[in-house]
Amino acid sequence: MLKLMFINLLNPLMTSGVKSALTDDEVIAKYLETSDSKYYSILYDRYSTKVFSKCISLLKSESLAEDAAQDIFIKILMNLSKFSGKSKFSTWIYSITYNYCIDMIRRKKKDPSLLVDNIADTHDAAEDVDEKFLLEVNISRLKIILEDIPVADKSILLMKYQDSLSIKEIGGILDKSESAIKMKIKRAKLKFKKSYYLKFKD
Amino acid sequence: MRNNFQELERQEMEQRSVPAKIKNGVDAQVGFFQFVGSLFELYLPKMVDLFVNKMSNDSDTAPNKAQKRYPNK
Repeated sequence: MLKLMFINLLNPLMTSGVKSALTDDEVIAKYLETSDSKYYSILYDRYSTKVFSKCISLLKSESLAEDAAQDIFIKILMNLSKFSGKSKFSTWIYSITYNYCIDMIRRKKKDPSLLVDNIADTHDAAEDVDEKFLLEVNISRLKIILEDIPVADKSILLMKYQDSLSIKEIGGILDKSESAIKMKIKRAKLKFKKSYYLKFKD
Repeated sequence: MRNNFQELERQEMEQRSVPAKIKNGVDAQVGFFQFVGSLFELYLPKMVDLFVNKMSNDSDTAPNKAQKRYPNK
């Protein structure tokens, strides 16, 4: 019994840093077949930096991001058998990450440091912001603006332009219709542009 | 080719390293779940057997109502 316990506790440490040429789907299948934690370590090594980076970006706190990243990976592991393979594994992981972070922010909504909205909410969605405008903003300015706009708008822009998710995939993640997502993107782009002009154009 | 959003992400990922305590935390939880799972796997069938045996023994040895009421029957 003690031997089994030690093997289970030490196995992840012994197998960390394992590289593999297997695809994500193959690693998942192997993990589900064998329950060998070395396969889980492969997935962790592939996605931990990205997940952690997204958590910091959305939660704006390193300590919260550490807790969130840990919970997200445990959630991924616990639900790995539910991954159907209909979408890419990366999309599935991002959906868990975004939903976890958005829920966390909602729970802590009273904390003003988490939901910073310096721009008045706009109802004028008639104006369409050119995609080119967003993609041509330089990186240092982009970073400042993404910190400035509300986290809901930031996350939808990150899903579209950073993770290159389709409208359908974003709709799946946020559980909204495609037309609702299109409208959200349009509004997020408008807030982005307003923030840009407030900060950088006199 | 990366757009500026993806380039920003790449820069942020380069600047940050994932703290080891996240991996340690995940490993500890996974190890714990596997340990509990192994315990169940090992002992649950035995406990069920024991329970079934105990119940069947009890019903074999326990006198039924008629025997209690008319012990000479």
